[in-house]
Amino acid sequence: MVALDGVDLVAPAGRLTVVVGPSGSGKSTLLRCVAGLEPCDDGRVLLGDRDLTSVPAGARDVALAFQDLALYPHLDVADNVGFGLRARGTPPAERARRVAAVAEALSLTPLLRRRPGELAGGEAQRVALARAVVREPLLLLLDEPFGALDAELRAAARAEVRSVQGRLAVTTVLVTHDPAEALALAHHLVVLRAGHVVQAGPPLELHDRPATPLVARLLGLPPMSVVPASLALGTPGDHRPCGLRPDAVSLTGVGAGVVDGTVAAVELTGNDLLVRVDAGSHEIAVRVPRGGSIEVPLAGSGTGLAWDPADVWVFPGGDGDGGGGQSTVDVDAAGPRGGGDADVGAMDGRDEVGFHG
Amino acid sequence: MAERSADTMQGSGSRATVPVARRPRAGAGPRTVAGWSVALLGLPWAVGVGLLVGLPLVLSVGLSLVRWDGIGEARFVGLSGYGEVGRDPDLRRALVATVVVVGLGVAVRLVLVTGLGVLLARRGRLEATGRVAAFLPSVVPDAAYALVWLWLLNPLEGPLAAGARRLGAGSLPLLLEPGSARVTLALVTSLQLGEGFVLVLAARRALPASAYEAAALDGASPWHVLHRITLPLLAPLLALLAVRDLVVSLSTTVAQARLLTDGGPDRATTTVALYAYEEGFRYLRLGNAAAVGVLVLLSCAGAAALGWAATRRWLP
Repeated sequence: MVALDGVDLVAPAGRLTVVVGPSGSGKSTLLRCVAGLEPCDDGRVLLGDRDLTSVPAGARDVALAFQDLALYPHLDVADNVGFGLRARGTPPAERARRVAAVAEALSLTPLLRRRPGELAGGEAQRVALARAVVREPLLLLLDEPFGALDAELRAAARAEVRSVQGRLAVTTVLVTHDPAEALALAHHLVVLRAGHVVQAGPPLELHDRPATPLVARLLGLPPMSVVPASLALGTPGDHRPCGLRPDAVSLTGVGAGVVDGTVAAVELTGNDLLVRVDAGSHEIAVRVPRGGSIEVPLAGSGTGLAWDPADVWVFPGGDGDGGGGQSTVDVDAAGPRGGGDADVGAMDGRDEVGFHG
Repeated sequence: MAERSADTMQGSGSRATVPVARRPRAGAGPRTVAGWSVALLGLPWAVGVGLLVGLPLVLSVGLSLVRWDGIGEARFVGLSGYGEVGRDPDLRRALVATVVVVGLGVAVRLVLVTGLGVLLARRGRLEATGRVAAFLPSVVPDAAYALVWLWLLNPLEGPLAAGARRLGAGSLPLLLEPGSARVTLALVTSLQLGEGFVLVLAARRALPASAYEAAALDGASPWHVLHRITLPLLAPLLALLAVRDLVVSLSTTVAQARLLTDGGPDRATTTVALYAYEEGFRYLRLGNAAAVGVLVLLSCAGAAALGWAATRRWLP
């Protein structure tokens, strides 16, 4: 089985790259290949101009914060954080200094003598982060770092990661399945699906101009409705997929809009209502401001839908979700760390992560 | 007699269940259906333990208070049997032999069990073969195992002696001198790793892979990983295995010692368990043998308590 096929990925130096994708998309495999925990059958991993592909994990100067945190239950927080330094023979005084500094930065100082079993979820997560950054690695990898936290702690942990990453300016790759998290954190966003990069770029770009329906469905809050161009633009025989933003569609009387349908559901989304309309074989979502002058139809009633063809988003990538190698990612990397274009991977002479199964 | 120590193990485990089984008799009675069913389910076990462990234990204590040769009339002598064996210099020699043979055997076995368990835990063809090879001596019956070693170690015709002669090392009188006989007996018995090996294998496999991957990313050497991660995480199990092995070994070296050296040379390998066996079945002093058995039982309980206390004191 090939978990990754033609992934070309660049992590810009000193920035936070988020890889987002549904489970089974190969996110974790990608991270493990970069870390050196999983052998790459093909392709290369580059860190700056160093080829890491055949370098053992311990010599890569890459740190990984594990999804299950992987804290050592028999060691206290200080020893957990200092484990890597000790393993590399850092002198005790230097080790204590660096552990103390990281503990201070992540508000772990009062917890240094506790064992992992005595920590709350958020605290344990900060310890895992501290252990990863204490070595000052060239590349920091975070595997679903907030997976074990409940919603309340997630926001705090997210801020923590962003602030630590910003302060250290360490090149970071974070994988998550949570699109909200991805949009909130990323400087550079990569959408992965079934081992392929579907689209990569600044998060705003991906959100506003998704290359494929998958990206639109994944990142839209709420997502676009995907309909064929024949319906969206009124061009018969045109099967290109098009996106209709819920904001761009309005409710009209039956027969007065572009298409008629039946209201399938009305959902409350904070300040707005999201009306899902069954229009033939397509479901189209409409955002209606709450308490506005528009009368919200009841589920089951008929309604018309109208939109301006100028607001229709035509997916440039067609309906494909990215094929082998077609989705090459290339981002400028300005390295703040010494010689530190910490780009990962290289194909075709550019700095990228390359995996070809 | 040889069963004594194994009985102690089961006896200490019975504490949790016996009160449940006894409660109906005490009149209080379990008030819930669940309580009754637990008592009912525990009943066969409690009956078995009572008949096979409790009863012999009571009879042994009773036997230790009489003088009896197994044929004639038994005579009540109180604790004088204990005084008699306590004054016997042979028992003191047996204690020394026990400390060396059992102590060394348990220590070596613990090292082997840990080392092989950790090394062979990975899934691979080589490791699978290694696991079978490591466990094989444990499934050979004690007597057959001892007989094989008797042939291997035979100073005149054995292959080890022949090999030594070919290398010009002279004869190999391993079982003929008191010191080397004790060490040889300890090493031979320690190769029967027993189920401790299986437990270490399983425990090592249950340790999270991510802990080891984190260590690999930290560039930790195999030695660092072993003594900073694997051994501390396995420590509670290893402590338990050591205590258990000590308790079991106090009685189970009898067969090997009887067949390999018959307690010699010069009683050097007569352990306390073998001493008790000889008192009872060679010299027909069943009362004295029972007294030694009770003393062994008490020291086993003491060793188990010490081990338990140490585990609680030093381990997380």
